[in-house]
Amino acid sequence: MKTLKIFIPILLVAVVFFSCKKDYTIGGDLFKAQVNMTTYDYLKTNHAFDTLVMMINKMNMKDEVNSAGTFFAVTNYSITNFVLAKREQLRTQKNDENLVFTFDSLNFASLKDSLRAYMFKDKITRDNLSQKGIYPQTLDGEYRLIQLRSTTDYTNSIFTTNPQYIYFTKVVPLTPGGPVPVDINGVQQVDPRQLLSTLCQTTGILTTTGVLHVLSNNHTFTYFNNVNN
Amino acid sequence: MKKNIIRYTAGLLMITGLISVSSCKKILDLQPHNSTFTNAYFTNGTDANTAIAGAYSLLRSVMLNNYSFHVFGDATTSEFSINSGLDDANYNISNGEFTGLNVGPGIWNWLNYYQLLQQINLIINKVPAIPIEKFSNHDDKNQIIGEAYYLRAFTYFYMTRVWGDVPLKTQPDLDVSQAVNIPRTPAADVLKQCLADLKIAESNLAFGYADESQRAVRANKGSAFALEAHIKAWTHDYAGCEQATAQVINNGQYQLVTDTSQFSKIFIGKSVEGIFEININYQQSEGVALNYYGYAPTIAFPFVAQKSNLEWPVSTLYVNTLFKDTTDLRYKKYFFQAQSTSGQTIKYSNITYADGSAKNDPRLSNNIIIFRLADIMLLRAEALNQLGRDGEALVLLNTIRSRAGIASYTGAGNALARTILEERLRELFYEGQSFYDLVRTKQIGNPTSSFISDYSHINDTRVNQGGYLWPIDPSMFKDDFVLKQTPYWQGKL
Repeated sequence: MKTLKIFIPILLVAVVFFSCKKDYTIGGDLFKAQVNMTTYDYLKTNHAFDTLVMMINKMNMKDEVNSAGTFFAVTNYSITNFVLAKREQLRTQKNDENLVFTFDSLNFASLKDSLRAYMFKDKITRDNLSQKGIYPQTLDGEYRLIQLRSTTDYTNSIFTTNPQYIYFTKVVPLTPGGPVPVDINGVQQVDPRQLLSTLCQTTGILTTTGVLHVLSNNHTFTYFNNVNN
Repeated sequence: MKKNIIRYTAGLLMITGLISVSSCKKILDLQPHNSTFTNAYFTNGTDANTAIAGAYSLLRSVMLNNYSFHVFGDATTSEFSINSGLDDANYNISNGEFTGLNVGPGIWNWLNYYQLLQQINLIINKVPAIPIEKFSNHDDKNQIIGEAYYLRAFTYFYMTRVWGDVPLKTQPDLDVSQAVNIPRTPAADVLKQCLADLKIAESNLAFGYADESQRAVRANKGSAFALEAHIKAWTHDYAGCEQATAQVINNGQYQLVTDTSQFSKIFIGKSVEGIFEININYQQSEGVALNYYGYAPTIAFPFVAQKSNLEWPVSTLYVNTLFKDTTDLRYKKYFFQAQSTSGQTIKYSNITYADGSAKNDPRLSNNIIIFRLADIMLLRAEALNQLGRDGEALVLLNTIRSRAGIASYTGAGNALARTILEERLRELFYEGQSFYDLVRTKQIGNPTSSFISDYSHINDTRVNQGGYLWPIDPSMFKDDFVLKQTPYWQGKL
């Protein structure tokens, strides 16, 4: 009995002190938000951004990407969505259902501002954000709503505080040519139909030049499909 | 130490012995109080009322099971671009890549339908024998018998549209040991039985509702005629369909909801337009709890505050082909941001949060709409068109069109038939009807009709071979040697 009484605390202490040493981590490493390269170089390392990098090259915007404090990167899928939507529009306009329109057919010079609409001067990380959100100006002068939204997806309601996703939202007028709000208080008043929201599928990558967030694959570059856009 | 253990064990054994000897005596001797399988039940009106309520409840669970109502009727058409990452099984179905193994067998298993049919058959078997004095409201007896016949006809019609030939069982199994396996009855005979049941239902039921709370969620004479119209249209007996729809429209006491601001109320349920609905009402604690077993794949934020996954975004292509006229009120009322890649279908988006302002526990409170007046009016237009009475068909079609705020149509013959079908697809979007409409009008995979050619995964050849029917779950063959697989699927699973 006595030995048991002594033995159990010793065992406990042993478990506490000797378990889970770092040696047991095989492969991979602990999470680190920082990557030791510029935003542009980081995009180049990840194949999800192949098309985006090609686009940046064609536009000669490498320096602008690297000088932006925050960049919401679109993946290859978003650009494909854009090309397909544009092709569909042209086919309807020209009444030619076999019209060929590919990535190379895009007019890159005119799309420069569209890409700038995904860049911000300041560094925007999760710490600056709230459910209400912020409404900063992009490098092309438009406004974007960036906010946190809590979710019960995958967790149902097992947490007292739900996880929160970052959303990137363009506020469009209710009718074509109508007014759009210019500050966050105005955004609070709009009809939900005016908010074109995109989930950020990866957030808070800290490069040596700024912050990088990645927009969901099902986003369409420039929100091309929206009627009032 | 050792002694103690022995003592405890002995004590424990004695207690266990004592309990097992002294307990449970009385309970075991009693007759089961609430079993529907014995003559102890079905003695008075209350029993009959509870039994029919039980049948409705079983029907509700059949419809909600695996979200099958919308999978059968809507996922199979091109209404949605289902997200494969979030709902792979239904993505396979919507994409025509259904091979059997990549979709769980739950959805093609009909066991729970036969639980429902057992309940209905029991009511049909037992309730007529209850003396009428035992009902507190004497009208209840006929009403309940009529509803049971209606439900049996509805269930078999629903099943036969999904599987074709199904085992036809019109007697309850009163003794489980006597239950026998029966082979699949040809669809035509099943439908004949449905029509025979409906004749009885129609003679027992009355038009209108004395109790407003039962509107549409309990069957009446109008529901029975609506079902008869659908069965006759399915068998291309358009003359019969025309007569049944006339009963619904002229005598059913239904009205179109013309105040467009009240449009969403149609889908909450019990509107003046509703003919038959499945009750889903949070206030009666019958909402669908989305965080638990419930599923609402076509809505997300902002309609469900904390839901960011949209499993079934609407297909923009399909919507744009159907709603060429975007001033159509339905375009605005049915969809949210339909032009984006995450367009939501918001017909059924009446959410209440069980935990109030925390909004963590959403409950959906929209009835499943099975039949409504607009549906029957368009079905009548289809029948009239087939019978060569285009003038009358146009009046009905244009009533629906003018309610939606779109221009009247003036056409005839096949062009009119096509417009009526498109109007049905527009009006009844996501109401579990589209697939059957396309099969009935033989428009699936028809290469000459532009938007329907999008259903390339189900083409004419496949429809002619019976490929619009679902296979049955192979696990059902285990205990049933007389069952045979649906012909199209033999050798394909």
